[in-house]
Amino acid sequence: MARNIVQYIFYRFMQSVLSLFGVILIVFILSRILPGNPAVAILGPKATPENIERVTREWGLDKNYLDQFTIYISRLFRGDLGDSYVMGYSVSRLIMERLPASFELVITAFILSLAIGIPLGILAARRHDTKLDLILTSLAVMSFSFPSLLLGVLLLIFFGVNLGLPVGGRIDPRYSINFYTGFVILDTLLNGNIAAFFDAFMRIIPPALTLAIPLAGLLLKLSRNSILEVMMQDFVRTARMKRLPENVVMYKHILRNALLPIVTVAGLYFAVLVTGDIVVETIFAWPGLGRLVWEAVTLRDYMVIQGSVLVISIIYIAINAVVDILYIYIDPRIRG
Amino acid sequence: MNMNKLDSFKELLKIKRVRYGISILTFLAILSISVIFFSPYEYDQISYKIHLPPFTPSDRAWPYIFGTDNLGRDIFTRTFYAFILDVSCGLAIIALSGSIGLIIGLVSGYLGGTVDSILMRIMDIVISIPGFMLAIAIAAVLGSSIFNAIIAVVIVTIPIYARLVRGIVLSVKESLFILAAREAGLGSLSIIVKHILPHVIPTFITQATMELSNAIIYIAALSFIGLGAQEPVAEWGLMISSARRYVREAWWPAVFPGLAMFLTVLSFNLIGDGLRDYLDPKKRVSISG
Repeated sequence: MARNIVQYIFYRFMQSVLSLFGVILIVFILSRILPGNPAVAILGPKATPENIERVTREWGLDKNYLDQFTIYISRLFRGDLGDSYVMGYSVSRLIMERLPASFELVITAFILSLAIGIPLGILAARRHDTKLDLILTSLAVMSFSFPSLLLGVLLLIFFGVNLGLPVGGRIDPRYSINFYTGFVILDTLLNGNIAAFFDAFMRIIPPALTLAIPLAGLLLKLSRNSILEVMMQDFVRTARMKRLPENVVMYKHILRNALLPIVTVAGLYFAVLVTGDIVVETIFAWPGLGRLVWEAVTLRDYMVIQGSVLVISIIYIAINAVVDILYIYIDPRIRG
Repeated sequence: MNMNKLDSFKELLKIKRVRYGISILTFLAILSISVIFFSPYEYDQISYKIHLPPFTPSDRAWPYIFGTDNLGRDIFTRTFYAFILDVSCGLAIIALSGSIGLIIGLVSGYLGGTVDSILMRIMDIVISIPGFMLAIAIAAVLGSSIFNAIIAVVIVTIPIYARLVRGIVLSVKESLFILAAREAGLGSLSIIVKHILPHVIPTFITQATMELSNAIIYIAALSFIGLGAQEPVAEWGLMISSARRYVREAWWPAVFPGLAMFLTVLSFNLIGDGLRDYLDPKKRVSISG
């Protein structure tokens, strides 16, 4: 059995490597079918002939496509995604600067969605087939039809205009804080600056909610159905027959069995959040990777678009692989 | 499934979700058609009356029902022009990616062997890349236009259908009736069309309905970040994107297109969800409501 797991992990790992290779290949092909000279796409429309010549040499643009691809991949492995001609930095530096903001937002959203979705799912299951259940499940269905475009705008209006709270960006620029972790919420606390912490906290809630609500709806529905399914099983009836208190049955018997698979499903959606945040970061001027994509599109900075697409895809593939592998540890049925 | 078409349609309408979905869509479609024919405003008609709130009376036949935007255009007119545009884009996307995916799935599943492995590896790779990112990369290369955005979304969504169809083909390929048809001397093409396709169609249509709302969301999101429709076209994502900057002064230019988009997406999801339960009786038990 252990052998099977090792085999499975190896197989899954190779699958991810193949996907990564596919992503790189597709992005490479796309960059080469770009109309015009690829060197101009790298350097921008104001490129000088000397620079075009230098870039043509560096990226091997005068060689055949196979050589070009080899050069492309070897540069990639050195973390070299090219330079942004508009912003004047290397693309990898731009991405590394933006990455913590995106992670902070996505992790907060993920925690929020678990904190909203699972308890409501438990509530709906306990009161199943009542009015409350109907309301909660209907809300859940609606929440994942809710476009983040609309939800984001509504929350922006609600928090920013109706409640008059600070919205947009990560933190008011007048607070100067030292960065230790790259996560503003933690860093403000580490600086001992409570006012700055509250400012940062208020600003992360609306974008995080925008990302979290559809996922919370999904978790609500999944956990409700999963709990109901477990409730029908024999061991639960046995536990009830033993006259165990209802809370013990619920939390020790039912939830443990019903929620573990849900949490892993949630892991897969963590990856979805990573891509979903382009729209959200744009609406809330959140200076993360998604906002970088939007800025690059606006500035027609193709190298940055390409680099961000690569990095986000790599993160997505990595998270999916990790969740898949974790799943076999959690759900013994798969190991079989 | 032996009922005639009208009966099965009536049966389908008995599902509440389908009824709600169809009613909302009909309502929106009627509004859009009346806007196109009777609205006293053009969707791209700029005026000096900027950011008028909803229901402001006007010297024209209709008041500004949803108000005006930052260029003084009537938002009601724009929102329902956008309904036609976005739903047409969605339909175009599922028609294109659905038919390409259908062919790939049928060929791959029926032929098996090397063709199957090659096609499916490609599909696996495409599906393992986050769809929206790939769509951005493709649309950025092709250039910002609604047409290119459609192409990008089509490419990204083909594998969904291909894998679905292939799965169904594999499950019926070895059935007795297929073997019998082959023994009777039927060619591959007629076996696929006459005997396999009917098994694929119901699930395929359900999936396509669900994908319609995704397609609309994709198009709106691409337009929102600047890779789809361009001004002055009326498109929900673009409208929200232009209104976003002024949202503190005027909420209506952003909220009404968003609501129309929400209702449309919700309706297609409701219909798709109902269709799925209708075709798969097992699901009716576990998901109530």
